[in-house]
Amino acid sequence: MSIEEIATEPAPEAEFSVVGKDVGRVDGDEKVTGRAEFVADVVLPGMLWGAVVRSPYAHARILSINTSKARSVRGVWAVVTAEDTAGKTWGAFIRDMPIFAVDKVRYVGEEVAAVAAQDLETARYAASLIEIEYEEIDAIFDPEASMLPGAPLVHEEREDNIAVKIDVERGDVEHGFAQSDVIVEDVFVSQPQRHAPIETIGSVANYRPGGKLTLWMNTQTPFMARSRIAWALDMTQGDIRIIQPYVGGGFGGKSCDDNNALVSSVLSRVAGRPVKLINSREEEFVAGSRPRVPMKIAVKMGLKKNGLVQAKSIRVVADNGAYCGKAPGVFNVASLRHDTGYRYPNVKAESYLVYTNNIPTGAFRGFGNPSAEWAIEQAWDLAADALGADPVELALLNAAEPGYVSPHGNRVVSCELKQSIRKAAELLGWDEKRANRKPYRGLGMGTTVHVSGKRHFGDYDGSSAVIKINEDGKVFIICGEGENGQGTMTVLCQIAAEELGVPFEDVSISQADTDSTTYCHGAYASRLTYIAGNAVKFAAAEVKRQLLETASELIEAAAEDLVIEGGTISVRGAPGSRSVTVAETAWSRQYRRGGKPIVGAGSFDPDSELQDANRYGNESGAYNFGVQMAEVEVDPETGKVTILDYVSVADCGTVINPITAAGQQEGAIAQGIGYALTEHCLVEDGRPLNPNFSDYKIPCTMDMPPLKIGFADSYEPTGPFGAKGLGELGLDPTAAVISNAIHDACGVRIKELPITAEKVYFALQQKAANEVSEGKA
Amino acid sequence: MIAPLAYVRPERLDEALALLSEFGSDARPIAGGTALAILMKQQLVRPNVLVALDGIEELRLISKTDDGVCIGATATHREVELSPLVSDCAPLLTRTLGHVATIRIRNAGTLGGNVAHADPSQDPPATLIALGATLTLVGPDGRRVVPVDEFFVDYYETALREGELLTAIDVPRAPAGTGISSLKFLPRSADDYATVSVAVALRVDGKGLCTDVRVGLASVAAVPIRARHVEEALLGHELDSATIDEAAAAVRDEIDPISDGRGSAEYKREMARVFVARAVREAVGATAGHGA
Repeated sequence: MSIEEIATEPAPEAEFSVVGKDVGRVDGDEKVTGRAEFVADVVLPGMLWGAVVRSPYAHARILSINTSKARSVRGVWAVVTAEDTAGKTWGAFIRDMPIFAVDKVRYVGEEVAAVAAQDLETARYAASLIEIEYEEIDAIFDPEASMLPGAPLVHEEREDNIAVKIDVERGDVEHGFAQSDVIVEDVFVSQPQRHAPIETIGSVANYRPGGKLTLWMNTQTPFMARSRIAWALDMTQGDIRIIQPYVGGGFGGKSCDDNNALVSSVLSRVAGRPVKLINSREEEFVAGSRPRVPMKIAVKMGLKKNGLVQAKSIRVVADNGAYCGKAPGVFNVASLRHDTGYRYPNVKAESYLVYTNNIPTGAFRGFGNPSAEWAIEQAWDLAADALGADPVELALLNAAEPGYVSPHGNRVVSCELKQSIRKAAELLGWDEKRANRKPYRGLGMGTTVHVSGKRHFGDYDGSSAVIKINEDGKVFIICGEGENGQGTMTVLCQIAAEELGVPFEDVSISQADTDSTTYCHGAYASRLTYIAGNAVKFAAAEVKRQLLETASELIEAAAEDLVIEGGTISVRGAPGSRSVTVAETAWSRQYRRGGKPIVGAGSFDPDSELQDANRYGNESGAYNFGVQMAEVEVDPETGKVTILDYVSVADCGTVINPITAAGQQEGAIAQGIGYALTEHCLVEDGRPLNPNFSDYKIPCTMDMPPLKIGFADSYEPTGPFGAKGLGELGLDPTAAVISNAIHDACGVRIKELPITAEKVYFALQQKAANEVSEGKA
Repeated sequence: MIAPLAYVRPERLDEALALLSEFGSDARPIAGGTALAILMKQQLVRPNVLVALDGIEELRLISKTDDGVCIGATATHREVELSPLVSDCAPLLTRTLGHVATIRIRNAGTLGGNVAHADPSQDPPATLIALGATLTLVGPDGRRVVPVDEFFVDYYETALREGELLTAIDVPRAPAGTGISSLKFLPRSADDYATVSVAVALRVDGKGLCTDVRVGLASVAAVPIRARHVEEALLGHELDSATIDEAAAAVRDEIDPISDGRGSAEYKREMARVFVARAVREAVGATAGHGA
């Protein structure tokens, strides 16, 4: 089917049999019984354990490395440094990171050497015996200072520390501001945030003398990991096999921007044995998943008295840390994406991604949106204040609609943002609560737009899947997209079952394995339900065609008159006529002279574009929207914020699995609340002071407010059964929503995340002092 | 090669004491392990021998005494929290334990371990101070009894001598009419150490004058402390709102908090004031009807 054909497919009126149902998770039994195997459970004969020696300095020259004592420890099989690598640097967008530091270290935690030994204790002991002589040099931690001439260079071969610059103007913002009746502007600062998955990054590398490297790796993106690892090790992709075990949470942090699997691979090659390397929690904080890119965003917005927005300009300074990873993509989204959610006639973004000696930052659920919306959704609140308008009404007036084309070329097909806003206001009781105000209680809202896949790794953002129908009629999906806990495997099985007309229980799915599954980009950009869902649906349509072809011979009826329901093939509209099961059909097609399997492939690549040199282009095939609202209460004696009620409504098209979809929103909101109120990386000279869960606080179940989760009645014509992405939008606006509600509650606005009770307390003290002095004057 | 860690689990107190004497500073006693395991994982403590105390039955008993309750040092937080003897004698302790960490941790961590660990951010020591509890320490030189507010010497340092074990915590029965309060300020997460933790036990006479008061505080100094200035400002006074606020303000000068992720020192001083006032108010409210 072509894109045009899909795009005109109407919303089906028929009830779905599996789609839209709360079927059990296909990985549920294994996970709740503890039988699911994660990378730490992988044990191979002769396997060694790895330990890494990391830089204690943020910026220092390496004068010498002496490994002789470590090598002499009994039980040590390999000690490696940069000299044992191919000497290549690597990265998702900009290839700037070595596997082990060469000549100098650029952040605290950077890999300098590693050991493989018969057990973990021995490996760590030997690693502690490696003697490294450093000479500290001036380090730079503040991105704005790092942009100035004369700042210490993080990468000496570069002219300055600006990794990437964006300077985009669509329309004429100065003209827009001139036409505006009201102009608001302010500066908002966001912090790095940690993914904090329950499972840290880890790998088991098995390099065989023939030159084949097999990696068990808890990555979200096995094929992308393969291409980056192949580059960094100077190998061909076919010589590397990546197997994804169960993954204990990714959130963007396991999309292969760190060195864990490369270190285990180098150790395995040198040791001639399999090597397991699992990050400790502290290592995860310093050099595992790359934290959310912190940004300082100055936003200026102009509106007419009637509330229509005229212009918006933002200036972004983003902290890249020492190496780029995904930060160039993240800061691109932060600069431009939001313009797809409201109908802005004139926009400008001037953005700098700046190297520092901080821990490298990168991809985290939301991918730039949470940082940008932290600033821009507060600017909308400022605008509502300045206009004396209800923020809900202002959002409804300016919200995107179906058919909207953003200033950067994003083409919106389905869009139920307005419906979502109305639904959320109803769920919260926005109007009643606004009419009956109580002291120190306030309401806030914010909206978001996210993608369903983003074309930014070259001109392909598709997916392929193969479906094989076994001889007993059971359906097996061979898919390399993988599962990292979000429910993709279940959703893909539902889509296949729906398309084929077989019971959900008859469908299962492979784990991702780059040798035996087709090429897949993996889990990022909220892409799997939409993109992989379409690929699976088309593969199912192909095997269905084969089934019906054979069933047509068996039943002696035309294939186009046949229907599959509950695993039985019969003539449509002729109950009681001859029928045959899927199992009988599959067996019959295979087990005969000249028999063939039932196997089919499906592919889907959405109608999106790679941004051009001026960053113009429709980045995704479908856009998902969301709105969140909160009621909070502020304790004026302590500054503590209590969320009394929280509402999130998503427009993700058809909801394939309601309980999983609600879970996606709930989990995202928890991360958003942590981002807003509590999560804070304390750092001294680039050294993390709280790399553990005692001191870095993510919300626990006891901290969660009552949540009301809703979904817009929506249908995306290009999506599988009308579905589009959902995974990230649930935390995009959360920090701004809470900040807006705090301001509404007590009149103070905290502009630097996280909004701690202490900041609110002292802001209230300041406000009271100002009121007293104004009263006197 | 690394020397393996020895783990011994004696069944009698004298065996445990003998092992601790034999291995000296190489050995550490372990009860619930909730604190020690983290210290070992972070390599802040590297014992060669762990002497497990959970096999010593007598150490985990909770029993009635002439003037209160005796809590064996290895009774878990949860066992103490759910003990009817404890809630009868010292409802303040029951209440405090109900908001220590999470049930999972309370099921593992022991009250004696908590006290001996001497982390100034833990809640139970502040409550034991407010209750006037005493600690029994047993070592090579015999048995001695130390009031809990003399036990804490410095950050993670106690009056325990080498080879000595904390074996029991004696809590006197609160006289009838005692008003209590235990408040823990958790601005970040319910599963966190307190920014400030306050425990108050007080009595007022028929005229409404405060006849007895103890205020314990945690998370605001290198050790859990007794807020004597606050107590002095309350004792003998009628506990009206102005008196309570004035007394609470005195707490700022007798604490020495550090700045960390749970708040700056300045903020913690203010919050100590706020929560002392709240706790005293609540305790006064709880005495109502018992005053005479």
